[in-house]
Formats: sequence, structure tokens, C-alpha cells
Amino acid sequence: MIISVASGKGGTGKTTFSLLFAKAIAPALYVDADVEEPNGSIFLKPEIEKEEDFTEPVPKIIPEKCTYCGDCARACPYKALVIIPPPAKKDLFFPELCHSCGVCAYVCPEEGALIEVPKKKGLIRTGRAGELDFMEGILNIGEPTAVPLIKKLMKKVREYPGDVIVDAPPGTSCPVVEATQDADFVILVAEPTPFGVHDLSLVVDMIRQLEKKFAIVVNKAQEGNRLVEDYAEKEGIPVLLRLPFSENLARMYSRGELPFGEFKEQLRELRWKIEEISK
Amino acid sequence: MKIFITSKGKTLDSPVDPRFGRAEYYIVYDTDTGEFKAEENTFKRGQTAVGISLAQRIIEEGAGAAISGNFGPNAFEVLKAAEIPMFKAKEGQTVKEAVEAFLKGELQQMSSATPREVAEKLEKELE
Repeated sequence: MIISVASGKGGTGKTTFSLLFAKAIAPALYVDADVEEPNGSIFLKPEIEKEEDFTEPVPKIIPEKCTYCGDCARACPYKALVIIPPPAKKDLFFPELCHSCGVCAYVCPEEGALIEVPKKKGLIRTGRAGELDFMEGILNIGEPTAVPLIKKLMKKVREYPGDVIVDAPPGTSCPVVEATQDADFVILVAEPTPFGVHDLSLVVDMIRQLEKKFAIVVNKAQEGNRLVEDYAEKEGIPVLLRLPFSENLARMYSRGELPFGEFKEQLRELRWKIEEISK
Repeated sequence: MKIFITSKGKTLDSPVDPRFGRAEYYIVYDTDTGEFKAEENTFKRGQTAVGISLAQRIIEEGAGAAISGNFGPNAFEVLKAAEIPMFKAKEGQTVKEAVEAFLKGELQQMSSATPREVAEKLEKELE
């Protein structure tokens, strides 16, 4: 089963929850899909077994064959190519604007004048941490979009035979959609603050549009604070677990450690609850 | 020769717009005939690549020089490759005054782009 963990608001505890959960239900695969700032490996300290480059095609103009007609530059929706017509006859490429859509190569009328060459845009690392399989995507700084790398990760996720926990990026934009749309179930990690509830409502809207089964886990829960629960009740969303606010956990987190082993029974029970709801 | 000037309005008495890519309008002035045309900069609200887009428009217009208050790094690179010299208008100059100053050789030619931080700060101020 693919279980994606999202949150809307950043810093609610997606990675903390994902790692504790994945460890508790191992053997399983933990995937860090927050490719712009992956940090799961800091806590998991996996042994990396494989590192592969993530590349995407970008255009390259072959000056001997190019007529500098400018069709490619006019077709580029991101203005990543500039063609300066004769007599100057120059081409400029702005890699930070290129989305590797391929339209430039498609419209080029001259055979061999514009070829596509692979450009390294990130890394995919896989490994193991005890009984847990590990995978993470690392996007190069300055790349315009995280979506293609997450798409590649999710393709590998679908090939995995067992349970997969996908640690999604924060927010509600395209990268989050990419990291959740193939999930069998989505866990929304929420913190009981007004901001937490507001951003939770945004990601609930998104998940509903994707028509996914989902539930809420409250993190940093405090006695007597029912902000998330009240919202969930009103919306008819199940709250499956409350992880208490803990100064000790915050201290451990800031040292790059997590209390693996704690909450183990509750987290295993959560896995069964998800199975039940998914039926 | 045609000169391309970023402008806050559609007449020669309009002030030069100190922003390049996000300028309100642009004026193409023909120094041989004294005729000009003014057009709205349709790229100004774009998310990215506004400088590149407007620089490409200059190339399409066949202008021999560009006048603005600032040129960002990408626009600067495109215009430099196209061998179109860029000139910095003085603060508060109208399009007409800037053209006259240019013809007298009084405008400073840009030798490097306006740093991205400065350009972005200016954009925010004029928003």
C-alpha cells in the first residue's frame, strides 16, 4: 500500500511522523519526496547502496546546421531560448527557465539543427536502514520545478512490492499533487494552531479534488487543545492518532535523532486502521 | 536608426520607466524621420523571463539602441549578444529628453547589468 504523508503547512512533523511510522511497520520503503530539501536521511542514517543521476533533456543548437529562423525561441513557452537572427547569428539558452518540455526540438524545421542533450538535474539515492528500505530525491539548487524528479520517484514507488511511506513536500502545489496522486491513502499531519488548521483546510481541499481516502494525525498535541479535532469533526474527517507535544522530542530532533521505538504499538495499530478505512 | 525606450506613458513627454522588463510601455523612436510608436508592454505581468521577452521584442523591432533606467542580467545578456547598445536614462528624464541626450552622446552606456537584487527592489517600489 502506498501511504503519502502531506501537511499543507510546513514544519508540522511530516518527516518525524513518516519516519516513526515507517520504522514501526518495517519491512517497508520510506521515500523522501521533499526533493527541494530532503532531510529524512539525517535521522535515518541509511547505508546508501545506489546513487543515480536524474537527468532531463535540454536543447543544444548545432551552429553548422541552424538557420537561426527562431521558430524554437518563439515556440518556447518559458522563453528559455533566444535566437539572434543573421547577421549576428547567435543562440542563448537560459537553463534555469527550461522545463524540458521538448517543444523546441518538435518545431525545429532543420534536421539536426537542434538536438536534445541530457542535463543532470538531481540525484536519486537508495539504500537501507535496518529493516527499512530507503529512497530519496535530491533536486539541484536553482532547478525551476520539482515535479519531474518526484514523478520519477513515484514510478519507482509503484514497483515496490510492500508498504511505502511517501514523505511529501509541504504546501498544496504541483509537487504535492505529484507525491500524493498515486497514493492508496493520504495521512495529513496537522499541528493544533490557527495557522496549522488553516493550511490543513487547504490541503484537505486538494486531497478531496484528487478523490483520495485520507485521515488526520495530530502532531504536537496538547491537553485541552481541540483546534484540529473540532475542524475534523465539522468536516467529517477521521483523526487516527495524536502524537503529544514533547520538549524531549524537539531536543532530539535538533540533534538529528528521533525516538524510534516509541509509539510503536500505536503506529502499528494505525496501519490497521488505515487498512480498515481503505476497504 | 530606431531607438527603443521604456516609458511610463504613450507620449514623448512621458517619463522613462526605470524598469526594463516590467516597464508599463515602450516607445520606438525613429531618429531619421522623428516618427514614433508607443505600445503597451504585454510582458510586464509575466512571472518569469519578462526581460528576455522584451529584449527579443527589441531585436524584432530592429532597433539600434535601447534606453531604460536599468537592465537586468538576462535582458543584458540577450541585448549584448544581439549587439544592441544599452543606455541609462537619467532619473526623471522624459522620453524626449532621453532621446535628445542620447543623440548628443550624453547618456551613459551600460557596461554591466543592474544586479538582480537592485532590480527586484526597484520592481517592488514601483508596484
